[in-house]
Amino acid sequence: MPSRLKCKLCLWQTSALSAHGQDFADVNDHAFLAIAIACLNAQLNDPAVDFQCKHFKIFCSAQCFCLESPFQTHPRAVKSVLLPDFLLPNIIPRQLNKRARDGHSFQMAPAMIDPALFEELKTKIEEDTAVRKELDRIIDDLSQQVSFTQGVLSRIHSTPRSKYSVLLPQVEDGIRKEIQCVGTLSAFASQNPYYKYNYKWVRTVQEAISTNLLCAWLGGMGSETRPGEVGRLMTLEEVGAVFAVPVNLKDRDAFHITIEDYLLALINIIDELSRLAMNSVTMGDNELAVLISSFIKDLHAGFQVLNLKNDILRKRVDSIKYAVKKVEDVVYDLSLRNLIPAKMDE
Amino acid sequence: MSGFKRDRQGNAKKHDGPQQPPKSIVRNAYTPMFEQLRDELDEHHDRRDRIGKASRDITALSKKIIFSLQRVSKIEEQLPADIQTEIDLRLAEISKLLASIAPDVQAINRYRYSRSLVCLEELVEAITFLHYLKTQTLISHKELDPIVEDITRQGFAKEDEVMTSAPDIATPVLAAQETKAPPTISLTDDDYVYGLFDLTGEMMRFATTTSALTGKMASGDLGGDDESESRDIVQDMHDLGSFFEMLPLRSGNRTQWGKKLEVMRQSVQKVEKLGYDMKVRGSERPKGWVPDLSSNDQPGSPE
Repeated sequence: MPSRLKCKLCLWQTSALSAHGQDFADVNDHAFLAIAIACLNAQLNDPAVDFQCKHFKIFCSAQCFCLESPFQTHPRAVKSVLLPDFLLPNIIPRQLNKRARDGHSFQMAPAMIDPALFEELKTKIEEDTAVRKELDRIIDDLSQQVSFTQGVLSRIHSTPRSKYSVLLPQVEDGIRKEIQCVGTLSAFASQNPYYKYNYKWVRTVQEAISTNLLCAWLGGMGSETRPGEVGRLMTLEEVGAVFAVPVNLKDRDAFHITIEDYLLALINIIDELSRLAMNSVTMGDNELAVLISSFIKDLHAGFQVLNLKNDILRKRVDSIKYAVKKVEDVVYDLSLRNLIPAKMDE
Repeated sequence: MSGFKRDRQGNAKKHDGPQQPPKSIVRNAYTPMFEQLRDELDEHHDRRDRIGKASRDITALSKKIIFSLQRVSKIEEQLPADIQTEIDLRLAEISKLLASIAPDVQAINRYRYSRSLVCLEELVEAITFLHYLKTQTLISHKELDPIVEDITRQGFAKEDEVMTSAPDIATPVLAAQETKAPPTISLTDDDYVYGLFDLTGEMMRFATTTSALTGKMASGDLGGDDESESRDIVQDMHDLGSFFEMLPLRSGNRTQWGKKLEVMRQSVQKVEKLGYDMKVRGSERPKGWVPDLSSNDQPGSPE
């Protein structure tokens, strides 16, 4: 049951409202009331309806309406009222101008914001959110595989080299699952600009590359043409081949492994290997410690070749020196006690 | 072994130039690989530096455009001539800068350097504000893209004019190919939205200045004979405010989004307060009364 509009000052009310009647209990602005009524009447196409209470006089036709306030308390009230949403569609195409009474036509200024503009932007943001959610899901899968593989790999610190032949296949199993996940990621991420979302997965992908590099260095990841050997460093291109994704893409926009990804992954395994150097000595494999030492020192020299800027890579490269110190200490301890295997001690 | 640090006298600089690895670096099996990666990384760093430099300049120029626009005293189709000239000059400079970095931010590199390209947000702010002052409407992303592309293209056109002196006849085919599709810069959604956020701040400033100077809220002069019928800036700020409030929460950078939203709300409320003041006290002020201090600070209002 729609209530009626009424003027609170004189309790005048109108019956011209039917479907759109609203109760403006807290509205005491006469101008508001008058315009609302006029709008509704204009909408109802009531030809030339006139209303009048002692505060307002309303002229209304199908084309336009206007109102007059004989009661001049607030000359501007008419112009600056805010209308409720349900009235806006009615009032925008209509003419709200005192000149309308004299038969002038007047175009109401169009709204500041085109409604289509909002819809468009909203859709874009929703699409963006959907992409992010899907990426989160894929990356979550990948990171589970990565952390499992990392877990298996952590057993190198307590596994003598003779048992690697048992351990490494398990790692390779984990890596195969990583490869699948990276494949899914690659397919999905390639639908969008690579650098728009890559911040979401770089860490995880770098860790996946790390497991790969470490496994290969320890003698895993062998193929028919090239059996695995301890001390092998996979190149960026080889890593890309393992994951079946392009590397260092420049000519098109798709998922790929960047140089930074590769280098940061390499720094990850330096940390891991420096730890292994100590543990291998504990397990009596001094030769491995010396191997690791020379590998890390070579890599350190390699990283010195780069011209680094103040970014994440610079920060991580700076940390290599601690790994170098760690392995040098180990080698020093060994050489002091003549524990370095003869064939390597030159 | 140790780093490239230079001593205070700068002696080390001579042997340790970035291209010349110091002798302490031992060549080993991995050196060639790292050298190759170094070249790739250098290319990336150089590009980022170039973009960063241009971006700073573009930001400064955009801010200057905005300052010029703040000297406009009302919303109307035609800006005062002197202000329009200032803006055209700045835009011409921006054109050149954008053209200089356009090749660096094509395709995959567009998002790669989007952080270095924050200037675009500033540029969006300037152009949307300019558009608002002229038409009292909000420009859409679709309308904005061709404008920015056009600005970039003009930068190339100017370069071509300089170049035409000599190689004109020698390589007509090449030149034709180059002019056919000069790379342009596209705006990302973020550039647009965050530019709009900043627009609310400028509108607030504009509303404050104009209402102080003219004694009424700025509004479009589109057909009405006096200030009565058209929308005023209070309404526009409300519209823009609701526009942002209704947008779904951006899932990318929530903190930045939240901060911008908060600043925007404050701007809306400031203008609201202005609107209230105008309504309550504004009518008491004699029409056309202008405070003394500002009377000589009103360049070029045509009437």
